[in-house]
Amino acid sequence: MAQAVLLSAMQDPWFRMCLSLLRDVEQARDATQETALRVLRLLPEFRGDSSLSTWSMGIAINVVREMRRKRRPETGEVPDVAPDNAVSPDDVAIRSEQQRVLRAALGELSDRQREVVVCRYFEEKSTEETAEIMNCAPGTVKATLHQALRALKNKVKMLA
Amino acid sequence: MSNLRDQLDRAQAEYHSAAYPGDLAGELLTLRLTGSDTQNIARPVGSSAASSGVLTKNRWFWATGTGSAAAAALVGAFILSSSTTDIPVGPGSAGYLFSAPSGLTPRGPMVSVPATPNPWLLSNTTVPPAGDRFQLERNRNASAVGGIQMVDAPSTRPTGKDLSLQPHLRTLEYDRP
Repeated sequence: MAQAVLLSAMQDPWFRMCLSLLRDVEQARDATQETALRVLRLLPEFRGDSSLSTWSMGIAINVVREMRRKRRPETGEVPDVAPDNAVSPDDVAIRSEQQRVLRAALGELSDRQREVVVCRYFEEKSTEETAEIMNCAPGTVKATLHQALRALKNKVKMLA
Repeated sequence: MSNLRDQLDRAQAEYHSAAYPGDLAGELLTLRLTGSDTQNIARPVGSSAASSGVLTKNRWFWATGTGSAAAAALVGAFILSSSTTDIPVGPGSAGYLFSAPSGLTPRGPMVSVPATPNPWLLSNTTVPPAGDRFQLERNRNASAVGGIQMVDAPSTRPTGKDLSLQPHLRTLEYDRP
């Protein structure tokens, strides 16, 4: 029962992260399931040094990295996962265009840079938590984030 | 930069709108016990069933192991039965080694020859050697069809007496109860 509660609470965060990094719904679903299996298997070894969310995100990012190594060539843009109940047609048009540009720019980042942006901006994790998720030093997170933002800015300018 | 920040904020909202398509707990946790090592975790469904290597390795291991064990047991049983079973010699019997002409009826009593790894070692017993048995059968069949006796060249096989003279075979017991 506790396992079911844990999976229900974490399935969406895991799926979001996997989708934003893999950019394929089916692969993200597979990665989420694999993450869940690993989390349940490794749960007895969880020491509680970090939050369960951060610890499991680290597992998810490892699964994503493994899948990236043996995945087919990328399709290009991030699939549109936004709900259809948007505001007005004009806003939708402008925003969708901006989002398309941003998605394209995010897609052109390196894997590491995308992981940093997803953890820091989308998951709103701290630098230390991001470092734990990515299994690297906090200084590396800061440097990678700086490079990612600079690259994003240039790419958005170019694509806009 | 603020424009980029706004776009990132909107992207964040879009990011959080994504949800897992289905019920992960329902897909992975079932009531069926699949083994203590998996902690009630069932196989992933959908396309991940093929890609996940967590449980398929165990399945392949067990399938291969069971198949090999079954094959080994079959071969062992075959070898055991072929080396210990008496081979009935005579037309109409299931173990008959030669194809008897149809319509023939056996003459005389059925001879049952115990099969041994080396029939030469039984040459001084009451059971005739293999060559003689075959000659008897052929003569019997020949007399049934036309009375022509077929005679083979004298056998050059060593007899039991000859074998008993060989020092490395003296310790063997030739007579069977």
